[in-house]
Amino acid sequence: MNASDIAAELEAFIRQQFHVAPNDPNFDRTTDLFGAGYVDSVGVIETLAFIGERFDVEVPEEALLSESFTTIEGMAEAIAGLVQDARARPVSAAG
Amino acid sequence: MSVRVLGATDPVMGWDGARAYLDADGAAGSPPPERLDGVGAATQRLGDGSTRLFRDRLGVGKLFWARGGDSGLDLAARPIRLIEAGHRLDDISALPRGCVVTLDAAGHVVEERRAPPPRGSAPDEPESLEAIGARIRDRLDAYLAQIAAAHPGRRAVICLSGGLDSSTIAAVARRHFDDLAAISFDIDLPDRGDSEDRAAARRLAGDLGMTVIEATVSPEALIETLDLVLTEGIDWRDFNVHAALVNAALGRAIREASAGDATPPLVLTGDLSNEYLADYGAERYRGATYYALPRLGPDRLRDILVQGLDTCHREVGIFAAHGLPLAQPFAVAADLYLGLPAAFLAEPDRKERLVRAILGDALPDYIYSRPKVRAQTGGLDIGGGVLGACIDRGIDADWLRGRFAELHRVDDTSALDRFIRAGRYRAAIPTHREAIHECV
Repeated sequence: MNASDIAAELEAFIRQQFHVAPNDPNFDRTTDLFGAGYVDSVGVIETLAFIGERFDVEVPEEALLSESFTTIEGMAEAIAGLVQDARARPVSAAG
Repeated sequence: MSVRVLGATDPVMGWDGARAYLDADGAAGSPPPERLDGVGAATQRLGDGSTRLFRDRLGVGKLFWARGGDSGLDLAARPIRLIEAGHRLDDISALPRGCVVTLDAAGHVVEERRAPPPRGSAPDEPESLEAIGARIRDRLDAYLAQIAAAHPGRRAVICLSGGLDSSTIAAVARRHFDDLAAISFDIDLPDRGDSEDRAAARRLAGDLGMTVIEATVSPEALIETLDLVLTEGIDWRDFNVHAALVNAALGRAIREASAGDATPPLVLTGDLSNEYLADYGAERYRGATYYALPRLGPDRLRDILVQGLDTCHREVGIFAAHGLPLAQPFAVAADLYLGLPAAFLAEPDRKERLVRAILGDALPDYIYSRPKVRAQTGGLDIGGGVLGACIDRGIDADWLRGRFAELHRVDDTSALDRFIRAGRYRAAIPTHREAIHECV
């Protein structure tokens, strides 16, 4: 799953969860979701919960508080990196 | 490199699983334990010029840092102290929770360890609620016994709302403190007598043999403490600010009532149980919804609320601002509460059942049967409580955010969202990259 696929799923979640109008001209994958008021402080938690459940990754604080983690595009890039890191991690042998 | 600690750090009321870890332990240079729970964030100057920083696993204690102009390190328990020293909010980070970091005299990290946050342990066999309750009771007893023993003859005051959480702590604490009083909060509204919370607290205190300090404040007196609450509570989010306003009133009243005491009392609260049991809900006032929560299942919500303790200072910070050390006994039992199964969290009467398992018949039935009323909202009985007092005066979420920014000398309020997001601080270990670069 690449960043573009992740962005598509994120966009679908955010549109549905936060009631974004289908024809909203101000909303796209580069919109600052927090600054533009689409996702508030409660919504960011819901979004993180979705990311954790859907992509099986936990967003570390450095990523969460970075400037890029405010757009769908930025989030998708970060998540793609986390997914890749998780897959690259060696699986510990059974004891 | 210089290391400056700006202002006082909050009194340490920690726990290592078996023993209390207090300010005296830190002052003696004893390293904090591998797993530090309770209220615990401080700095230690070690004899060889090195400095040790630490913070408890839940993040109940707070410690912040920023680089000084000479690449030195400034530390403080409140961002406002660093702001006053010339730092910008964007340059301030929290010490991550669970961290113990030792810096040598040149500011290089020579030791770093990080304990994971408390998690519920999965027992080999499922435990009954009674067994879990007994373990919680034993833990609370052990912690409070050691806190009391470490402060012989010192008065303690329990913030008693008449709800199950504060009543639990009162019932346990009275076994260990010779001089334990209760304090009850109420808002002074015209044409209204005591609130039901006040009546219940008074009744329970009598039944437990405690005197009651009554902190009754007008809405105007409550609002006067907003700037203190915003800076010492390190928060602008409305629920936390409203809770902190209550605590500011309690703190002031405790100091007034103990003006003749040689040392200020210890304060005890029943906080954190609501996070552990996901026992929060949105509130309605004048047609609007406040305190909205994420739309998550109860176990995920619990995890988020517990994680959010990292950025909550509405109790420790506020009482410390009044010179009052605070112990939060539930903070040392996080692992036991987090072991409660997810299905239990979905039960409407979970708190009542758990408290009965913890205390048996040590609490009277009328406490169990009371409806939950938060001091922040007060329901119909106290006119919207603190929430109403603020909203009716135009002090809404946007106002609080703007005032916090102003106090912290922030022009662009987006800096607040870079400081706290999803209930977590911008956090990092203070490394000395600049100095290392200069040496290369």
